[in-house]
Amino acid sequence: MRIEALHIRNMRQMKDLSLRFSEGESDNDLHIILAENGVGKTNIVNAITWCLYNKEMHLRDEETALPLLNNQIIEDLRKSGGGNAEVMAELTISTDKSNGRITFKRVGIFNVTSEACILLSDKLSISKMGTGGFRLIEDEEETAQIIHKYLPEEINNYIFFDGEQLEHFFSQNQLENVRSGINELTQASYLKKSYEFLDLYIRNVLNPKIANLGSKEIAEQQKKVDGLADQIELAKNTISELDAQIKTCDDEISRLTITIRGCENLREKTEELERVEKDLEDLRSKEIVKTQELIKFTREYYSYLGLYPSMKAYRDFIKEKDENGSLPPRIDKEILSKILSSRHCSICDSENLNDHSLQYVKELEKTLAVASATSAELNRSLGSLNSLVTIIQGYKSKKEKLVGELFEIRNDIKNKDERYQQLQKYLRSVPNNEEITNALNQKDQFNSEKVRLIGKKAVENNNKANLERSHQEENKKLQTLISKQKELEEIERQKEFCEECSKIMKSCKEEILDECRNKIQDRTFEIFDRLIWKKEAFSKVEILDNYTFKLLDAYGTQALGSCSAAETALLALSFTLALQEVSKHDSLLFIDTPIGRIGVENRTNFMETLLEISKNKQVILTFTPTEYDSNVQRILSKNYNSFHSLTMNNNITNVKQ
Amino acid sequence: MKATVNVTKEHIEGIIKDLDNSKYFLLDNSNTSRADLFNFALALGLKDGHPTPLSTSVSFIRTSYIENILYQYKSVFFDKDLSERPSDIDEITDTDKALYLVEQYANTGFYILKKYKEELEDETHLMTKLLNEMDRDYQEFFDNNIG
Repeated sequence: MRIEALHIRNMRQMKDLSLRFSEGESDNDLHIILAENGVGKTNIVNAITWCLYNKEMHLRDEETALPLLNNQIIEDLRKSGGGNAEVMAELTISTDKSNGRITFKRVGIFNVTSEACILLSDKLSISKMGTGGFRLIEDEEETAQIIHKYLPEEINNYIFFDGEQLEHFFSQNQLENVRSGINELTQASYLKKSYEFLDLYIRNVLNPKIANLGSKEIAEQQKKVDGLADQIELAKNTISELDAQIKTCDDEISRLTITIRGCENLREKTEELERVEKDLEDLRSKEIVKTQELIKFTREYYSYLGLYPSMKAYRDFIKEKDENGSLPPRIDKEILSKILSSRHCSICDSENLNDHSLQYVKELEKTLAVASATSAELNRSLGSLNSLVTIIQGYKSKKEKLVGELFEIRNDIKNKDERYQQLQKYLRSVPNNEEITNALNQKDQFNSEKVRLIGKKAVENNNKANLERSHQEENKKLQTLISKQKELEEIERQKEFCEECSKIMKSCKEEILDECRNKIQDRTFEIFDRLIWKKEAFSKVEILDNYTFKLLDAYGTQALGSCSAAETALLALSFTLALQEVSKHDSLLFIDTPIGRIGVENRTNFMETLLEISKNKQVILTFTPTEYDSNVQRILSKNYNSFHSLTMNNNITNVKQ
Repeated sequence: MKATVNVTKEHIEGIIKDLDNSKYFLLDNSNTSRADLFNFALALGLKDGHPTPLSTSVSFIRTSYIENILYQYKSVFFDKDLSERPSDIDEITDTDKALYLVEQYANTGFYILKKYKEELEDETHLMTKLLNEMDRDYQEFFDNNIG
C-alpha cells in the first residue's frame, strides 16, 4: 500500500495544498518534503491522521494548538460578521499493483463567530476505484471497516513517525509499542475479543439458564462453580495487575539504568566522600589535640632542660661532697640526743644501752658537729635532682613518640585529602550528579518493589491454581448432576461447545503471538544487521514473553541502552519493517524529520539505510533545509520520485514551483 | 621564707594577661598552672643567661604551692651564685635568696616570651623552634656523654 496524493484545504496554514507521491523513474519509492520549521511539515501528518481517524496525532499540545480552520478564513469571516467554512483533507492510496485506489475525504464544517470557531459537523466519505468500477461509501460502519482494513488506527504509530518517536521507541514506557504492535498487527487482539465474548456468553446466558431450569441442587452447585470462577477471575486480574506493576518497575529500572549508565558507582563515591569528609574532620581534630599535647610537652620539657645545667652543677657538687665524706651520714642530731637521754636506741630498738654504747653515741654526736641545715638541704635535694634527671633523660623517646604520632595523623590527613580531591574531581565531572544519585536510589526502590511484587504474584498464582483445582472438581460434580437431568442436555452441549471454542481461541492466540514474536525478533535482527553500519557489533534481537526488547552485543549482553540515537532509530525502523512484513500489513513509512536528533556523523549512514528501505516500500521523508545538507543531498538526489519544497507566503503554505 | 614568688607588674598586666586572653602556646591559666608558666619563663631567662631585676614586684605564686620544686630554684641559686663562692654554701638554706634570683631570671624570660608572641604568631613555629633547641641541648647534655 502507498499514498498517491494528499489534498488539504483550509487546514491551519495550508489553504490549498496538493501533494502527489507518484511512482516515477527512480527505483526508490522515495519522496521528499522540504520546509522550514513552522511551514507545516508536521501538519501534513496531522492532516492525514485527521482525515483517517478524526484525530491530530502529532500535535505537541492539543490544548494550546491553533484552531483547525485556517486563521485567515476565520478573520475574514469575522470581518463579515461570521459564517461557516469547511476544512477538507483528502488522502488517496493505492492498495495493490492492479491500480486499486481508495480516496478518503473528510470535511469538517466550522461555524465562526466573533468569539469562537466551533466544529458543527464532520464527515468522512470513501471513494473506492477498483476492478469493479467506482463506488462511494458514506456509511459510517463501512468507512470504519475500510480504514481498519488498510490503515488501522491502532497501528498508525508504525506508519507515521517523527524523529523523536524513533529515538525513544524502546525507552521508558515505550516498550508498550512492542506489545501493542505485535498484538494489533498479528490480529491476536481479535481472537482475544472473541473468546472474551464467548466466556461472557457462558457466564451471563448459559450458566443462569442451567441454574434456572435445573434442580435446586444443580442451582446451588452452579452457584458454587460460578463463585469459584469469579474468584479465579479475580486472581487472574490481580496477577495481571501485578504483572503490570512488575512491568512498570522494569520500565522504570530500564529508564533509570540509562540515566545512571557509567555512573553506577556514583552513590558509593558520594558515600565515600561523606566518609572521607568525616574522617578528615576527625583526623583534623586529632591533629589539633596531638599538636596541643606536643606544645604542652615542649613547654614542660623546655622548663626542665632549661634548668638542667644548673641542676647538673648542683647535683655534681652534692655528689662530690658526698663522695669526699664531706657530708654527714643521714642521721639527725636530734635523734642522737634522744638516744642519749632515753638510753633507748630508736634506730636498732635496743633498750638500756650500756655506757660503752652511750659513749659511742656521744662520739658520733661530736663527729656530726659539722652536720648542719646545709647538709640536710643538700641531702634532700639530691634525691629530687636524680628523679628529675631521669625524667629529662626520657625527653628523646617521649618526643619521638609524640612527633611520630603527629606525623602519622598528618600523613593520614594527606592521604585522605588526596582521596577527597579525587572524589571531588570525579563528582564534579558527573553532570547532574544529584539527579543520578536520586536515580540510583529510585532504582533500588524499584528493585525492592519488584522483588515484593514477584513474591506477591507467586502467592497469587498458587491461590489461582488451588481455585482452578477446586473449580474443576466442583464443575465435575455439576456435570454429573446435569447429566441426570435430560432437559439440560442441549444447554450443556452449547456450553461445552462455547468452552471448547474459547479454549481453542486462547491457545491459537498464544501460538500466533509466540510464533509472530519469534519471527519478528529474528526478522528485526536480520533487517537491522543488514542495514547497520557497525558490522558485527550486535549479535541478536530478543523479544521476551513480557515484550521486553533486547538488542544483544557481540558478547550477548543487552546493549540497547548504550546505542546512539541513530542506532536506536534504525532498530525501531527495523522492528517496524519486520512487524509490517510478518503481519503481511505492507504499509508505507512516513517519517517527519528523521535526522533531526541524529548526530551529524551518523546521518549519512541513516540516510543510506532509508534509501535502501525505499527500494521495497514507499518512504516519505520531511526535512528542514538545515537537515537537508549537502551530505544528505548527495545520497538522496536522483534517488527520489518526488520532491516538494514548501514555502510560506502571508502565513499560507504553498508548494514551491 | 617569702610568702610569694613575684613578677613585675608590667608582666602581670602585659604578657601574662595577654597569654590568658590569647591562649598563646597554651600558656593561659586554664591550660598551664602559674608555677609552670613561671618555670617556663625561668627556663627562657636561664637560656638567655641574664637576670633582670624586678622594678615593681607583684605577688604571682604562693610559695606554699611550690615547696616540692624549691630544690630546682636552689640549684639555680647554686649554679649562678654559690658555685663561684663554695665557702658560702650554707646560704643554700636561704630560700628567699634563691627565690629573688629566679624571679629575676623569670623576669627576663617573660620579656622573651613577649617577643616570641609578637614575632612567632603561629605557635607551632615556636614549638618547632623550641624543640630544635631542646634537641641540640639534649644531644649536648646526654649524647655527648656529659650527663
